[in-house]
Amino acid sequence: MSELLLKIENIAKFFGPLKVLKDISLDVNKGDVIAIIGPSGSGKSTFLRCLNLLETPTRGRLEFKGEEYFNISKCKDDFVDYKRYVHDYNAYKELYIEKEDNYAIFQNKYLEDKKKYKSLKSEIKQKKKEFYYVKKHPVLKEKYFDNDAYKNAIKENPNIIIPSKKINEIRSKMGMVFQSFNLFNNYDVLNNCILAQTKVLKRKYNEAKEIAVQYLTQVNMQDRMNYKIRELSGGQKQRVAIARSLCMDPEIILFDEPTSALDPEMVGEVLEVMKNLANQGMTMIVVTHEMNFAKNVSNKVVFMENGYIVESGTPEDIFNNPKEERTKQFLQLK
Amino acid sequence: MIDFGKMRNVLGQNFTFIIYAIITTVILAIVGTFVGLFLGIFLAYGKNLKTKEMDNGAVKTFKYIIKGICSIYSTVLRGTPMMVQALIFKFGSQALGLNWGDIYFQGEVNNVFNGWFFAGLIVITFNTAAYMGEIVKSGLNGVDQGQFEGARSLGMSALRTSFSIILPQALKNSLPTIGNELIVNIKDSSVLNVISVTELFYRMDLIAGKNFAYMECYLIAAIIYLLLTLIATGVLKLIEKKMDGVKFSFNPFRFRRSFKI
Ligand SMILES: Nc1ncnc2c1ncn2[C@@H]1O[C@H](COP(=O)(O)OP(=O)(O)OP(=O)(O)O)[C@@H](O)[C@H]1O
Ligand SMILES: [Mg+2]
Repeated sequence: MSELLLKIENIAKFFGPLKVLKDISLDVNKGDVIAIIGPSGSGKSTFLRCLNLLETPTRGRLEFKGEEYFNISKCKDDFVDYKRYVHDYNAYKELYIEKEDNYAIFQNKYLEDKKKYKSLKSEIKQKKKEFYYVKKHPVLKEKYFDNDAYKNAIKENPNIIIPSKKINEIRSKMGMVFQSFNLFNNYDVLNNCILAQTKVLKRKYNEAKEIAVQYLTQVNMQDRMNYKIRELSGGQKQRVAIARSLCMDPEIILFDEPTSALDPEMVGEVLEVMKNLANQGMTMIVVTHEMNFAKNVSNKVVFMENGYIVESGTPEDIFNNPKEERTKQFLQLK
Repeated sequence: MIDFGKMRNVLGQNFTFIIYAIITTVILAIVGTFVGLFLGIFLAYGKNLKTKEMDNGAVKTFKYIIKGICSIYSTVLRGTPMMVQALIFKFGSQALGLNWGDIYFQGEVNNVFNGWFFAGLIVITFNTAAYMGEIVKSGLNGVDQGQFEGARSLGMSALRTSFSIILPQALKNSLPTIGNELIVNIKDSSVLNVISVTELFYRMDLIAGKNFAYMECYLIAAIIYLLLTLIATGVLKLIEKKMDGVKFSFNPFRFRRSFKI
């Protein structure tokens, strides 16, 4: 019955050795309000930013209304020959003998360095997981990273490189509201809402203005339309930011902790706007620390930690009888 | 010591020449600053080029080359005196068969617009561009990245975002430094006398030699320079009032570049 809007398959994102997202899959239906919760640093923001490709995922597949707009089935990590890498002690030995030029000396040293050897081995084991190390290492890079295989994979899979025009098209249908508002300081409130309409959707200025006024009224900012951004309070800024993304007629809006930079008395006004949006049937993914919002407004709650989705379900399931131990712990802390 | 009668005489006899010299200096400073700013914007973008993981080999190489050229340009032009640059430009042109002194016009205009003037204009413009590149670059980097992402999330292209949102703010924020550059150029254009640009200093120098009125002429030059910089400061202060939110903190009485004499 409900139409699949956004399909997220096996998304991973690594920053060098830091694996922020490991494997995340999620289906978003039209009209869904999905709340993403999780401890700080668990990669919630990174996940949202991967969806509109502000951050390029390391691996995974993304589909919007049945149209694939991102697909990397294999990442560089998949082309490291770990088996050879782990057994690198042999290489170490070779190097040693070459230097000492005497096998007997090596044997003595070997006994002396047995502890050293052990630590080296565990170190190697640990580094097995760190592709970054291999990539940067002048010798190991040559030896263990199969660059040709990677290049061939890119050639075989043309979807890996996405034309920026297509990305921009997807982004215009996928609004985003940031924790830090990110309004344009060189425009007033009204023109913040007009700019992208005229530049991206190629609307006429007057038409864009009408739409902007309409949405600014919806977020109750109609009497501040000619204010400069720095003359607004945090809550007002965030409401303008919401109006700005609504002006693009998005099919889905991503919210990244929209209220966590606000003073407590301003949180309510922003949540009210979001609640109204949800009631109007807008599809939303909301990263939030507001458990009440997640409980009352969303129809699906996703608990994320360490780059995985630990548990997801209806708000009743998650808040009243969570299955995973970790989810219980997290919710108790709140 | 100072013969005020002589001063008045010198002023009276050479009035038109001094006016031409002032015009020359003002045009050199204003055109040099604004065309330099225009070129500096390109330089700043060139120096800011970043390679992305997605770029293929050819694009990456191209970016490195552009970035390298821009860096070398700005290092060399900021690391050498404008006077030396002017001389190298003059004799370099001569070696290529172009003598700027051969270019002249009939009539009054030649007092301002002549070959040496254009040579000087080119030198001061390209010299200023190097400084402007740095100013614009730090201006660009000073605008918070969030606004860039905000625009990108609405589907605006990187170029469009840069020109509609980031660049205007960068220029507005660096307006004080850009204004300073104008004031510096009013004064520093005087080094162009080494390639016979008849700007204010060179003209007064010539008059001084002809009339044996050194102290008087240099004093006149000093007063006119001071007036010009004060007027420029006043105009910039006016702009400051018009554009709210910009804080100007001028220090017009500072020489940035090495100076003759
Ligand atoms: N551009 C980047 N380069 C390197 N590391 C990054 C980058 N962006 C994020 N990270 C790292 O990724 C991890 C997850 O960051 P992220 O902002 O996604 O967390 P979060 O779940 O949104 O946390 P919070 O609730 O505090 O906002 C952090 O450890 C962070 O340091
Ligand atoms: Mg975050």
